[in-house]
Amino acid sequence: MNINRLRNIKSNMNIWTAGSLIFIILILLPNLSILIEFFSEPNENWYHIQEYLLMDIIQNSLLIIVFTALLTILIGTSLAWLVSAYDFPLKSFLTWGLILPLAIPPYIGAYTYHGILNYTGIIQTSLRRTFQTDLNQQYFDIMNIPGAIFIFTVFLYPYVYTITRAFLSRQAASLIENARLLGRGSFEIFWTIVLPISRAAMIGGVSLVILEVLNDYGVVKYFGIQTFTTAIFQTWFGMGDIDSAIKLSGTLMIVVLTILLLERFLRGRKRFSYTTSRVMPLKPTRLTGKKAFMAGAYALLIFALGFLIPFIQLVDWMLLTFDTIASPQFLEYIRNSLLVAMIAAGVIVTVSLVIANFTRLYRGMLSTFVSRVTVLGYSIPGAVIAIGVIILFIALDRKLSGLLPIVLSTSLIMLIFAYVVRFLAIGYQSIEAGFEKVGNRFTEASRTLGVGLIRTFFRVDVKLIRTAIFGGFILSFIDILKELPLTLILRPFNFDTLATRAFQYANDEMIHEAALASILIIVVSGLAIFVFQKILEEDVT
Amino acid sequence: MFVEIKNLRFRYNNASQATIDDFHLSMDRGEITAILGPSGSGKSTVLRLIAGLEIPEDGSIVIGDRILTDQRHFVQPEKRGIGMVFQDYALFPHMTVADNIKFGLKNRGRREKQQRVEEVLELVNLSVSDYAKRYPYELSGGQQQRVALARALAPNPSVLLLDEPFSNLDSDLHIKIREELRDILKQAGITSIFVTHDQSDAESLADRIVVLKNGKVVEPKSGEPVPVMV
Repeated sequence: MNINRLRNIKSNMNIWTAGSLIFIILILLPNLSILIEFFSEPNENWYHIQEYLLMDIIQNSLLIIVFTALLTILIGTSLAWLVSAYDFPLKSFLTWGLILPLAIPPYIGAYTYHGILNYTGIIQTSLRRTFQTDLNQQYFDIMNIPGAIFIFTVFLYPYVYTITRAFLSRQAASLIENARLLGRGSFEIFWTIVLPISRAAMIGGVSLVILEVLNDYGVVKYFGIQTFTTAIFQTWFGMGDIDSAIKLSGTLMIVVLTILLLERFLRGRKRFSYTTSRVMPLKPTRLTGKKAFMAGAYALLIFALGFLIPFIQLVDWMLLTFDTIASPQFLEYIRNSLLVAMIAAGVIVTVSLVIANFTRLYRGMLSTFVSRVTVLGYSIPGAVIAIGVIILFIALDRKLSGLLPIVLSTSLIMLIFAYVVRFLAIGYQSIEAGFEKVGNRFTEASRTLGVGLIRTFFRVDVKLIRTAIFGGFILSFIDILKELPLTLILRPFNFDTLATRAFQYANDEMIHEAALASILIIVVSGLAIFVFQKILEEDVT
Repeated sequence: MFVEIKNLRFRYNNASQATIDDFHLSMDRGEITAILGPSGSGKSTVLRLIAGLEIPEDGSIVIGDRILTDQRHFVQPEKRGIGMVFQDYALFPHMTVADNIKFGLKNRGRREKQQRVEEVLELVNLSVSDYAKRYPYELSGGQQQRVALARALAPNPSVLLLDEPFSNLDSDLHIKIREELRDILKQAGITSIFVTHDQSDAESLADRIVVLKNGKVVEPKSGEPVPVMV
């Protein structure tokens, strides 16, 4: 039996296994270093933070999370139901238009809305000019917790919307049609059928929303709300106290892990999909008259809040400031953004291919574990990963001092490594899905024809899943382009991207100047989302 | 004996019961063997074990004096020189018929490869000029099967495995192809093992029938006909 096991290990040992294990260790290291350092002896700052700050932080974070979660569920699910079950004016446009708010990073949305609503913004100036009314400034203040909840809700609800819509249109048709035949009204169906059966989808979507909220730094910083991420930045940049930053990161990590466990528990054994493969799309009912108007108006309102209004305002500001902003310097930000996003997305896709190829070829405990770990980084806030990566690279620099011509912890390598840890899941899930769809039989056929695993990979596997590879690249590319907290912490001195530039302009109260960088991010993300939806649709048919 | 399989045992991950238990088979060169069994009997798993796509828990497979697997050895599928025709053919969708067939031909010049493509297409009764440049999706089910057969035969494997060769064909075609397949295999002189759940397929095509039930070989008593499947 022992010989047997040795034989098995030997026959499974190849570059895919070895590569996967190395990558997994690299991904785990920064996270583990936080958990290890978390239990070290605390310093004075930490006691101070614990006593005066921690309660506020937790309270603020909880408030924002709970209300954003409730509102995104309400809006996301109702919109998903509306576009899957009914026909109304503008529906075909709104069906994918309602995804577009995802193209606007919440921090850009935050300062745009502040710019619209403040004393010199379009609303108050028009009110003053036309009606000579000067209203109480408090009515227009969104730089507070309810304001942050509003921002997160209108820009993040698409997570719930897309997942629930996919579920409703693919899985729930027969149930809903049965309910209709049994004479239930549509409002009743929504409450008694749609909400309960799409629970798993909703929880899946809303947990993404919560993770995004916990990851956010730009919105809360701009609005001056104290949360975990702002506190991490303060201790690290303000006080230079990495130990307390680690303690805060560790606490935030525990919060995130609790949320993930909660998600598991709430979703229970319900998966996103039934086992039936028969796909029967729901036939939408045509709405007429007042109802059609109401449905269209509701969807349009959300679209306007989440995309149209901020986008038009940004275009307006961009036109105002274009001449002063568009400089050779600005071209460099574009170049920097594209460069790091392309390199990191390329690495992500490569690493994902190695790991996904390993997990599909060798099923078992190890490959299940490996595939879980790849998803880890996406759940953990960027600021936390950044701190973990710093610990790791400082230690590396100490060990390797003098051996390398560069200092790793001030180089782009550190930033790109952190992007890979954080966004690996995006590329991996796309590629894993691609492999799953193709199955193993082509690889097996190739091997029985005498072609080894590596050559099979290049001549067969890669070619068959190229759409998935492309999709994984695009998705991780956009996420890196928009990324803020991690970039702010880890970028080399004097290295700016579109995202950091937009954020800094806004924080220096130069909101108009931030518009060009913001629009570039939004347009690239929007195009990518559009292309991706088209690919998805083609894949389904 | 050319093929010697002894006391082969296999269990899928997390399965409590062995899928294949104490499977054995001996074959002469050029013989055609049918593995007959109902669905779930583990007959496709036997083929996967012979091809090297699964690693057995126990037992040995020896083909032409070469140990492919036993307690100490495990030869990877690409090194076994065993051809396989998959149930759904698994023709590479991004390659033409000719490229599919050339895929398994190594260390040969372009001329030689082309020549081999022509030989095997002729063997499976497909005209080279009509089919070589087509893509798999431009072929009917029967034609796809012939190409898959040609592709598997092209590198001159020592043994050919066929997984449910008739399951994807409609019944008119079924009988005609069955006759033809036997002719092709005999003409190529290749040692073949195919699995089927159809007694008449097994009887009309095979020189020898092995009946598999719940992962175990059902031994026919000498002189008695092969037990009829339910």
